[in-house]
Amino acid sequence: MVDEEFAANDESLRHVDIRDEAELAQQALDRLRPEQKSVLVLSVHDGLSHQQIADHLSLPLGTVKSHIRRGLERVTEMLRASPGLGQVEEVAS
Amino acid sequence: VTSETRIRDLWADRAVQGLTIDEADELGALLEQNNELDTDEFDISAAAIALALTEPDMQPLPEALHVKLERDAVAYFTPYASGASATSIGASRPSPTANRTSPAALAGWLLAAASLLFILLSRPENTVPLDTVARRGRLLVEPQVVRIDWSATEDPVAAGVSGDVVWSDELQEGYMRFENLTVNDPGVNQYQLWIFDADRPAEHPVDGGVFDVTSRETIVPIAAKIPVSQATLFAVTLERPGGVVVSGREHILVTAAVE
Repeated sequence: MVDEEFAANDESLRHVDIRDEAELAQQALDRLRPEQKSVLVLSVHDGLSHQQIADHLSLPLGTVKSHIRRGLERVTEMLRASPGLGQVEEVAS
Repeated sequence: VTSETRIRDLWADRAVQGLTIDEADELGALLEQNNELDTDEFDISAAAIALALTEPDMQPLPEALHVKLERDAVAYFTPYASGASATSIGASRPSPTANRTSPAALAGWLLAAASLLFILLSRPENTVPLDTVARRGRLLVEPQVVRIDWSATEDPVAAGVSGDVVWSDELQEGYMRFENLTVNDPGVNQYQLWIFDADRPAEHPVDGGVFDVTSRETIVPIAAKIPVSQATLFAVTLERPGGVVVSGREHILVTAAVE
């Protein structure tokens, strides 16, 4: 029997053009406010937890969270606004 | 905090560090109360950001970028800081001149190299679920993670196969990446992973899961059936549909030994 988890993932495969998404995300990152960009990079790329970022930057935890949320909102908006990009394509199973 | 803001906070948390069971329950309840559908837009954005930051064409000097970002962050947050310094932030990252063999530098380099390899191998018709790519990328920067290239055997099915396996004994999580592994017909045969454990006899490797290959490049999550204490060797065999409990090892295709 095929592993159930793998099968479940396979059924909901959603493919994206990863390279284009990455390029667009870079452009979106460059347009973020510096504090949003810095916190997002420390979180997404360096893998620091919200608390670790808060400790490193001596920021309130809530401030870190709001920067991450607002940064992701901005990147998502820009991905969504680009024709042909940011689109998630459902693949028939 | 409005429920809408709280939902978006939880979506953001999920995208960058995951949710606890309580938080996931809270998100589910809030979505239901607000008659709102779940979305993984933030997850996709976070994964795209992770890839963007390791895209070599755009980030030829990722370490320099980090230094700059950290410097910018310190400058921006100075009014908030009470003793924070560039040193305290930089302590979590290698400096541009840091020894590249340090675990942190190596992990970062592996992530960049893996992302570069993935991007170079990507084709319009050859895509991989982004969430799997993101999870593999996140695992690569964890400590105590091994990444080993596959070695193809002389079995005809293994001709031209390459890729790697990423595994963490501590997290019991791992991913296999294959290039050029033949697309299989699940009704005829399936691939199966075996994990050899230092604490178990070599005759009884751990079943790492049965899987199919559907595209030229594939990333497959490892689904070990029992805990692995210390992985020493990974091997993929071709088996009958559904896999087997004990492999006859007639078709060992690729192996990856942990050094």
